[in-house]
Amino acid sequence: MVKYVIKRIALMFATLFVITTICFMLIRMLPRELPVDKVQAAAIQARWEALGYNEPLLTQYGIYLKNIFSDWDFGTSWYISFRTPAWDVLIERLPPTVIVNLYSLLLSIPLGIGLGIFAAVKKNKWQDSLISTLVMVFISVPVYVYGFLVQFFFYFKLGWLPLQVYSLADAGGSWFTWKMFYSMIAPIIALSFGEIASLCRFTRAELTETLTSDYMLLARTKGLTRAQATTRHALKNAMVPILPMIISSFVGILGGSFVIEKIFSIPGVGQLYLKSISLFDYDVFMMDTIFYTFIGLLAGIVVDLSYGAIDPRIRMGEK
Amino acid sequence: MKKKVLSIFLASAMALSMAACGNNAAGGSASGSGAAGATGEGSDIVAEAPSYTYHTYSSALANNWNEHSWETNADDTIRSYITSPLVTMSIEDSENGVYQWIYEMATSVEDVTASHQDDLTKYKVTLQSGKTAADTKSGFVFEIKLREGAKWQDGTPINADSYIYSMKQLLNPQMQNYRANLYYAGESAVAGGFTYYNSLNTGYYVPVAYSEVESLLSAGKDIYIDVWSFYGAEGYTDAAGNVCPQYVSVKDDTVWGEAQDDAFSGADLYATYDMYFVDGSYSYYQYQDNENYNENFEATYDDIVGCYKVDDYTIRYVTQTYIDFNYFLTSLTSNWLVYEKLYEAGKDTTGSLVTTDYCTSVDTTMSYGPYKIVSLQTDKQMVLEKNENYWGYEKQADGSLLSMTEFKVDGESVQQWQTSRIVIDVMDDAAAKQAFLKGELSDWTPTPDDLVAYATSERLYKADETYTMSFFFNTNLDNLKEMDKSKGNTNSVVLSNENFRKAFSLAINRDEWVGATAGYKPAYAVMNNLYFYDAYNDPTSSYRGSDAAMQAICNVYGVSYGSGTPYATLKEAYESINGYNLTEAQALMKQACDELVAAGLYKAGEPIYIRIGYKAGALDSSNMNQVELMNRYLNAAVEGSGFGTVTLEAIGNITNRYADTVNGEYAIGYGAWGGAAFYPFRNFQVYCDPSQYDLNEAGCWDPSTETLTLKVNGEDVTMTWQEWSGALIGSGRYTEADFATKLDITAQMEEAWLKKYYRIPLASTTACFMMSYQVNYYTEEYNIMYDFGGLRLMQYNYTDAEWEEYVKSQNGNISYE
Repeated sequence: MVKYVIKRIALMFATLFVITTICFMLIRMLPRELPVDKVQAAAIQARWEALGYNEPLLTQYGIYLKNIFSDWDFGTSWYISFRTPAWDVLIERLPPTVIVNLYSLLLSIPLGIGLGIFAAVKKNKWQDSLISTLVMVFISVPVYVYGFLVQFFFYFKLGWLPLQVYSLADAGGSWFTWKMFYSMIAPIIALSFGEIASLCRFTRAELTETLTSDYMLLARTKGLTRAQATTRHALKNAMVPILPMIISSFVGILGGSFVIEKIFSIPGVGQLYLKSISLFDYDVFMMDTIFYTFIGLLAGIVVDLSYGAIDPRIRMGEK
Repeated sequence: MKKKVLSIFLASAMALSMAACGNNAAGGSASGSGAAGATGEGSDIVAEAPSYTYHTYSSALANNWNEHSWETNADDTIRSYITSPLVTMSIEDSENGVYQWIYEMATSVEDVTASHQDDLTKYKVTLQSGKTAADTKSGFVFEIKLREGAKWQDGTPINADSYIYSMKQLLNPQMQNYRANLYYAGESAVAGGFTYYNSLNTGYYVPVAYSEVESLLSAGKDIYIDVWSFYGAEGYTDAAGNVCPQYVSVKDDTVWGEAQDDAFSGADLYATYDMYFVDGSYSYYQYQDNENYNENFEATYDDIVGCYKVDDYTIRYVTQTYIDFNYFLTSLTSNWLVYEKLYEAGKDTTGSLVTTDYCTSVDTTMSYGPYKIVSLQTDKQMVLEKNENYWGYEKQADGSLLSMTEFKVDGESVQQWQTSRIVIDVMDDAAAKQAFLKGELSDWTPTPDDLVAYATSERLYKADETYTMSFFFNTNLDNLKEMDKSKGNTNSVVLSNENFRKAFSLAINRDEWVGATAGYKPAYAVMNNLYFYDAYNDPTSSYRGSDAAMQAICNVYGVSYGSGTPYATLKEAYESINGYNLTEAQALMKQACDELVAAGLYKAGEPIYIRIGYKAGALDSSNMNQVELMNRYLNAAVEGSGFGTVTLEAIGNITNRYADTVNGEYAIGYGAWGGAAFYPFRNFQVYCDPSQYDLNEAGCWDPSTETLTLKVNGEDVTMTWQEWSGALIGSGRYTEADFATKLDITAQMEEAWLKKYYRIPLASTTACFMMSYQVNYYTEEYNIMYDFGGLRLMQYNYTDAEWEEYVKSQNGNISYE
């Protein structure tokens, strides 16, 4: 097991290096637009020159890696947040993204699993048909549609919720005030529809399968009620594939949602990535790339390992 | 289990309901800042004082509002709140659209050239040919009296030393400040500014005439090609991974672009593509050492740069070249002041570049304008409040800050800067519309589709802009052939024919075409009626309204006046022009077809398909309508001409359509140019001076070699187009000519330029936006000199508290239709 984990981690860093290298080269090979005014263009070119952007790419990459390993310096933002360390730019954007997505998951998991169990238990009855139909609708509709609808009804028509997430200054200076939470309800709802539907469908499918298993018949013949058999045996087994999915969702919340962040003006990481590309803010782009590649790769390992933790019958790295 | 599940649901429900009740007051607010009044951090307004919040939005917040390095419009907006210009313009008579110059950080500006001719020699100004310092009496040395009592946000006085320090930093060669160009280049460039700014440059690449190339090479000199511009080679690397420089020697065998299929070396380009340089489409360059290279630049500022202190509240500004007094005043509508302590504290060195983080956050900003920044959350919100140390405010008994104009507006002194708080939220258009209709935004810019619903709203403000939307071409035959072969065009070679392009222009029914896009007005000329040549003395001095300019356009479209014509006067003839003449267009198309067939460039009846580099973003329905109409016009024009069907296709999401058109990716580009509204005599530089601008029409001609003969004061004068474009500015031949001569020259250039049909003007643009019932601009009549009176003269119909009540009385939804 330990050997397997070490091997996976080593592979993870190798993959991270390859992806980082490719992204570093690609972003710097993109042509940059200069102003039509040659005097202004010359000032920008002089700045690029001074910042080392005209050095050979491999030299630039070597300096970049050296700074990371020797000083833990991931570079500087020159456009998004002038002269702020790229690491700080990323860290500053993480809280709103994580908080909104976390709230959304906390709402989605019980509702999604609960509805999935209910639909499985009521399989082929009208309740199941209703839930399954709604699930299909909610999975099919893109998240930005929910965003606009929630905004339109809850803000514009009913006036129950604010249009956008409040700024820190308006919410009392913290991400954890009631006022801030209140302003986050709209994006939380918009984000949750899809997640609830997805979890519901998955839970229903897994539970329906386990409910028809032989050991369920055995449990019932041993005298357990349907509810006891379902919660103690069927649900437990059905959770084996569901739990890794939830773990993966938890890791995924760091990624945020560009669309929802834009609609509700959440200053999170989702928007940062695209902005760093459009503004050619090289170091912020690389910081994002490294961070998300790392998170993505780590999530893969954690999910794989979680199978073994959840179900002892599954053994990692054994032949 | 049931209990557990039930308890979880109950807890969730309680948490949500508690949160919902947590602060209901903010429930109807877009961002919670709507009527916050005096609650903001750092507020200095007592509760009794009425608050007037201007709540606006932007798709992106400012990042850098440093006077020396700001870049975006969002940055500029913040500058306008926290800084104060030396002079500016405002309303004198709103009914008749009369404006006035008003003094802000300066109290007077005077041309003192006649009494300070020694400065011309000391600072090595560029005198006009044939003139000496002794016989130069005006246009070079200006004395600026500074306002005593002006202070920084923290109360520190602003004096002449502040200005001199700021100029030194602005031109600091180690900092390469983006806005330094405003003070070392152009008509208002400070004498010696360029030399000082380039103190650390070892040399420059300067264009060299094609005829001299061979002899220079024979003499052992090196000649270079700008391969970024000529070959699009930016980012190419050699085998060792070295990045391709912008200028590559024609003797250099290094192969660049190993990874690309169009690898090249400087020697290859010289041997293969010399033809592009023969006709002047591109220039060769020569490297010149900078004889003013000076590592000890700081010590030489006083000897080199013509911006110096006279006394504590007086500075003198010496310009590098002659400048008209009015245009100099225009240049003072911006400022270069920075706060030394924060500027120095924020300095840091990256590579060889020195930067400062001055004016990039609340803590690093020092205001001297009417507002100061009190809170900023990156990419989310910025809040500004009145700066109590702004020289124009007087503190009132209730704690509020009052400012009355020193100048008369419609005959009386009126309140200015009534807005007590400015909130800028990051918001997209769809969200902004909802917030505006709920009374939570003070302004909103409708999309073209929304504009239809609000076209007749009394709250809709319309502001004409100087921009002229146009089609510009690449008429180079080799480029067009290549585009037909490999870039998806079919028979785009037809654009090389001048009659085809003229017919193209005459076929467009501009009056109808502009209907495809809200806010567009038809345009027939390079400049619209927002360009003024004598802004200071004559508010009606519109270039477009001058006889010379009107005559030029009449000549372009073949409209005459007088006996035997339908028009009695030049003005009537000019005003009749709509740029549309299908009959003439059809005749020209036939002629063009015959010429192209005879030249073997086109086979009669074949279809024509041309891609247009349309815009940087994605195409919208308005763009599709524009192109659809354009196709209809062209196909009507080619009917019976021998040409096959014409199809133009708009291509969106292009990073740089201007360069792409020049470089032969697109035969037609679509874009706008505007600006220089207060000095139209410099406008043609952007079309004709490749040393100053990347020309959009560089694929058509070389204005640095092609000559033009104009009649000036009865005499024929021949110069290159590039020389003509600079003839009325700086040290140009006619810089000091009277306005009549300048108007005549500019109008003749405009006529000759339009007759080349390298660029077809289509429409001028109008900015349309809505204002809430809470606020009014001083006037509803737009004037380019003072807009609508700006934030300075903005008036409020409701205090924040009253506005909140009003919105409630409307059930939270306000109708503006």
